Amino acid sequence: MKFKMSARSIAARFFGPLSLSILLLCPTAGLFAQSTLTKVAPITVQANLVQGLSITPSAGSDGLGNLNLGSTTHNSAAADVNPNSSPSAGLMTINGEPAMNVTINYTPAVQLIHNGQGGTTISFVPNVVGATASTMQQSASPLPSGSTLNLGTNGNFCFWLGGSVFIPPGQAPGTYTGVFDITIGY
Amino acid sequence: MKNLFIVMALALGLAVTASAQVGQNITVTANLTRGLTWTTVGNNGSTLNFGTITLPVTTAPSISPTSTSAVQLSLLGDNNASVSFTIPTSASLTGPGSSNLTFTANVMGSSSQSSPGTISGNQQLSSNGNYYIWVGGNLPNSIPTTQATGQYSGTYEITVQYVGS
Repeated sequence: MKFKMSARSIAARFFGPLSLSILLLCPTAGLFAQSTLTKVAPITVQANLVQGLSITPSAGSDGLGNLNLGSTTHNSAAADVNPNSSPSAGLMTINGEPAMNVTINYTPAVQLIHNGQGGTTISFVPNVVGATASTMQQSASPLPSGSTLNLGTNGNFCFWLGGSVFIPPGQAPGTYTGVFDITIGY
Repeated sequence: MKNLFIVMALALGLAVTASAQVGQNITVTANLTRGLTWTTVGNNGSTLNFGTITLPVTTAPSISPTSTSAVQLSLLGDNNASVSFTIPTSASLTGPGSSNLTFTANVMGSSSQSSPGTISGNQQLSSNGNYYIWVGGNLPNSIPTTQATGQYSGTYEITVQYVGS
């Protein structure tokens, strides 16, 4: 501050009051010179690429993703496939981006339709269990619809599809089929 | 005594004459320009995030410049000033592998925040010195499963300057 006052005094002495105005204005204009007459706006662009998900049926089913509940006696209460123990349980392998979480969803029940009598149905209730390796069927944990699972370091996860059908008395004999969809997504 | 008054009068006259010779009118002007400043608008800040993209890509991931995922910038400068923008068409995103991703920009602008339009030639800031930029864009329409997965990032820069500066 002392230096500023001194400079003003010197300027006033040699150049008069007019010069003082010039001295005050020039530094102010200098603050805006060049550096902000051109201005760059940097924008960061980001994207996270991950491998697509796939489901591959393998041992335990017929290799085509079909689950065969087998034959059951007419008027029996139910036909079951235990996903933790039955060799008929459909083993499916999910493959995707390592370490990513995946959500699995499926309908809680599927209507199976009599092949010869379209209006005749029975209800299939799925039972899904999952584990990180195909050798872990017996210890696989229940995987209810809406579950989140982790694909681990190899990007894989296995699940077994079982379930049951309830066959009420008087149900028409024959073959019943239906489509059961499982949806997985990151 | 009379001589003394004459001498004093002459001295004053000389002084007056000298003063008239240096008393020029000098016009001093200073043109103060408001520095150009960018600020971001909205929750995205200055990051245009395409999020998680699943391979293979068969349809170009796209962010519309007017969508909520776009980056919106506000520019402040001199009222009604004319400015020019340097808007690159693309930028390169680097990732974990040797193959980069090309980001193709889709940029809109307007001196009114409610009416984004195409930017062609010099643009005029509003009467309040405002201008708005909306930045979206897309990624390639084909990215194979052989592309390295992971996080890709790059910097896309828009430059503005006063016309004639």
